[in-house]
Amino acid sequence: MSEVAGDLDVALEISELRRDLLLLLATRIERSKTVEHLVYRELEIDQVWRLLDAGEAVPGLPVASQSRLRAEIEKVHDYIGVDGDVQRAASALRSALSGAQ
Amino acid sequence: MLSPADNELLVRVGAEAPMGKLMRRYWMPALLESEVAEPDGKPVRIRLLGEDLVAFRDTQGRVGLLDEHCPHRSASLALGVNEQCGLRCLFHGWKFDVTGQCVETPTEPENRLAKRMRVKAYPTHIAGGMVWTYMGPAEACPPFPDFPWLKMAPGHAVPFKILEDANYAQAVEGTVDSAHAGVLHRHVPWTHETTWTHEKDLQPRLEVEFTKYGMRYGAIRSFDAERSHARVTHVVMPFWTMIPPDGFGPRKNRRLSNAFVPRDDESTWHIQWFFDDSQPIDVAYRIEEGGHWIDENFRKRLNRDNWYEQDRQLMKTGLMSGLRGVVTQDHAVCETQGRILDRSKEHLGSSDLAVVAWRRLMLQAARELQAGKTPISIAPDISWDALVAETFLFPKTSSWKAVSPLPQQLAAPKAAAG
Repeated sequence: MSEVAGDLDVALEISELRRDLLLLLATRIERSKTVEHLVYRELEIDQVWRLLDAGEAVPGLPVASQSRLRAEIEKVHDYIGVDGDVQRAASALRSALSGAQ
Repeated sequence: MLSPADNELLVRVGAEAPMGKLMRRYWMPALLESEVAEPDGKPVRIRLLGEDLVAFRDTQGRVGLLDEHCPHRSASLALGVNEQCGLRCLFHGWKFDVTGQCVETPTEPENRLAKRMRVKAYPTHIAGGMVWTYMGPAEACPPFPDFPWLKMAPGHAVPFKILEDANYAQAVEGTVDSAHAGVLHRHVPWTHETTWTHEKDLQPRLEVEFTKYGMRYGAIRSFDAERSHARVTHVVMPFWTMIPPDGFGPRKNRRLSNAFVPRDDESTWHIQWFFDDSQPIDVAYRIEEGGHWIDENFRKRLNRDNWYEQDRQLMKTGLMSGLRGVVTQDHAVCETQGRILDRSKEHLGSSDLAVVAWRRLMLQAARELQAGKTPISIAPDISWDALVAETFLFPKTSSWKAVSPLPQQLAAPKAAAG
């Protein structure tokens, strides 16, 4: 994964699911300030959804939480893209990960 | 991906749909001027935004665009007699002028009825070889956009029109998707070596910037050890994409503006202007290059019914797609996405950035209008001459935005994330 953790003006390439990476995405969402940032964050969440839909799992996350994560990711996606509500999106993502070790 | 609700919001263009209402707030190209070339000539049926209309040029050369159906008993006015400054319905002779005013009702005993009767009529404007129309509220009609290609010397800007059997949104998305160019339009089989930058570097880095007129995006590829290659595309609300030059010979300085005018929810008028201030447009070359072989109704001769006459042998020896013509290639992938693409089933990647950005642009504008606000892009206070789609090389130590900064007059007011 190529990572420029602090640069909000690029979309990270998301090729694997890890709790620390998803928490990083939550931080990036929270720090996003411009409408362009929201597009980059939405695309990052699109990539997370793609992996989830392909059956990827977050290591350490209980099975029940994996299912909840997929539903929550769709909400996070729309909190960003529809509502522009970065705080709500970041909170929802962190909450969805709360079962992971 | 989009939720089903957002997808519906994006794709529906009828008169009562939010996106349909947004679309109607912009001037749009409707017909080639050549379709109504002759005063008192044949009326032309045209479907726009789900509305069936008829266009005609009256005795004085004015172009009318009316509801196709006579308000008397709904017969088609396209069958009518076009003479003496009006279109006369073939059924009972009711006659309408270009403003939609009924001027005669010969089968009725008195003429007061005519003064009260009107058929829906949309204003028209002729520019760049096309008849344009505005289908929104009369009091909100914006100034006509003086795009630069509408003001060029004869022969230097040529419009083309072709029917695309798919929703407008997926058609637009095909032109805000730089990554596909190196695959779909590949000049050689997949396993052969290529010389084109966009076919060598299949993973452009994309960056978007929202503007007063919509957005622009840069597609950055590696050119050599020291330089990057940039293609900067302008995306103008609600359905325009301005494509920069590429190639050599007739393409060296040639630019393209696409307009994807919704015919209805499931089909689109794909209008293209090719323009070049350095030389006249080679029309024959473009027809061959694009595969722009059409019938009298602007339907492609290479279409889904004949599977675009895809040539499997050609795929092994020449064009990777086996599809003749750039437009054939683009339309084939667009139309086979389904008449209306279901975006809830997508699996997007980093190469889809500009597609995601465009969708948000459109959805936000439709929501703003629904909330009673006027989106800034409807009548932006800008000079359209400042929009120039570009292709250039730049040092890898620099950035494309530094080389081609967005002029201040084009910059959108900075909106903050919530």
